[in-house]
Amino acid sequence: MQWWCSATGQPWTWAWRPYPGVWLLVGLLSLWYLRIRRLESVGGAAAPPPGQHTAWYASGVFCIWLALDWPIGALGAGYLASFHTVTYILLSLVAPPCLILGIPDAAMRRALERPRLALALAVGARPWLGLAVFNAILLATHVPAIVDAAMRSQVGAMLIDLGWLVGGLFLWWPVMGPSPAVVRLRRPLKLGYLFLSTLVPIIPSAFLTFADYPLYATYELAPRIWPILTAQQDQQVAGLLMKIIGDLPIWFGFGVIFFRWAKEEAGTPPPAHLGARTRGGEARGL
Amino acid sequence: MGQRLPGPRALALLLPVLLGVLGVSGCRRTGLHRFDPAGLAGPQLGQPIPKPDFTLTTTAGQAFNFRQETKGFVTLLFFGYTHCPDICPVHLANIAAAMSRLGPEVNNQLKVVFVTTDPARDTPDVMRRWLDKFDPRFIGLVGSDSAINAALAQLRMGTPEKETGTDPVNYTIGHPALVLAFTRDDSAHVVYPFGIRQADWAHDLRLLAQGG
Repeated sequence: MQWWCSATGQPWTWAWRPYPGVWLLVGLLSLWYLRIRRLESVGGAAAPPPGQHTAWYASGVFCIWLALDWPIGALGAGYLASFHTVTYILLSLVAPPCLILGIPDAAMRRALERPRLALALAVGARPWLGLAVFNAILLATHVPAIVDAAMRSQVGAMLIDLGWLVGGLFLWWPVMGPSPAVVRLRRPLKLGYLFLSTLVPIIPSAFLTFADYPLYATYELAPRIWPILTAQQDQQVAGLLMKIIGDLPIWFGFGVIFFRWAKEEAGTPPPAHLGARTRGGEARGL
Repeated sequence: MGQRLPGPRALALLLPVLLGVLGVSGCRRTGLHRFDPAGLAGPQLGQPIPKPDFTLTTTAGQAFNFRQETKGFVTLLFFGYTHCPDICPVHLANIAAAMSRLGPEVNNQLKVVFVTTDPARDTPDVMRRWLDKFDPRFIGLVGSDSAINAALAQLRMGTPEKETGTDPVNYTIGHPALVLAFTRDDSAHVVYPFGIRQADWAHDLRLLAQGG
């Protein structure tokens, strides 16, 4: 039995398969959140996180589970480049902002009381670092030699998946970090930052879409699932997904920031549907 | 003192070498050289395999003598079956994809022959429909178990084996995963195991068509 999705070379079947490593990760993320909530309740320093935070966090964990478990995780690990890209989008671009929006205010305050952790969170909020880490991971994890070598083993596939998640957290933290004490980027700069984040993915996306031949042996030599979808077409779908669908979360964040900014400039209070206001003046997160 | 020119004795010693060089050049111009598999992505055979002589039936129901019908063509020969879940469809899809990127100057010199190792299920109609999904130019051959095994025996490729313990209807068959590439000298100098990629196929088919 496999504990993480990787390329096996076996013909695909629609029979469900368990991946305990994925469940362990999802379980640990959930337990961590429950522990935070319990500490907040026991400490009495603050109210338990509002349901909105919990919903965001649960959505993030759900995206991680969806991306990594059967069938999307298994299809993406060893059969279809397009599903591999779906996994990337969920782990790098959808789950991280949900997880960040789910962090309770009180938990953030407690974290900032620890100097080393506060420093790490502040360094992580530097936009150049966010872009550098996200883009470096993005490019490295799309190099054919790396992908083909990594996807053969469960450890390698897990490293790629976790790399995407970490890269996504670095990308979104400077924009959505929950405390103004950590995230000092002003709204116009956040817009510029998000725009810049859409540029580098053009490179792997273009290679995937316009390459003359399939780039990854993993997907080119995988047993076909749908004969109508060739390896080349699958790769082209992957490239288009990466650019078109992958940009949607970023442009959504861009839009929210822009309209909040515009409303504030117009003198009307911004809607609080994406998070409560903090003491720092700007709305929490976006 | 000036540099000495080579004397008549030295020229006499060099003559065979010069003639040899000229002879090779002449052969290249006239196309009489032996096929040189250097530069191909597919593994080269130490000893070329002679083209087998067998007759099976095409999906259109006509007799097909492999040696005669493929004479003068670069021919890819592959033994497999239409219910194959992994190797056969990937091999054929990759060959078809490579051919779709090559022009008629290459493709007109190629023949791809797929021989079933599962005649019980691979009727001519089943074979034709399946091959057409990849490339209608692919030639499908069917025949009796004994005729197919005899063809395989000429190539010393063993006999197909039905996997035991599987469903009596949805069984799998062990078969050679190699594609043999026969050049115009009626020999296979290079084979293509599973794992050969589309770019490699395109590269090699072009070279085979030029030099084979």
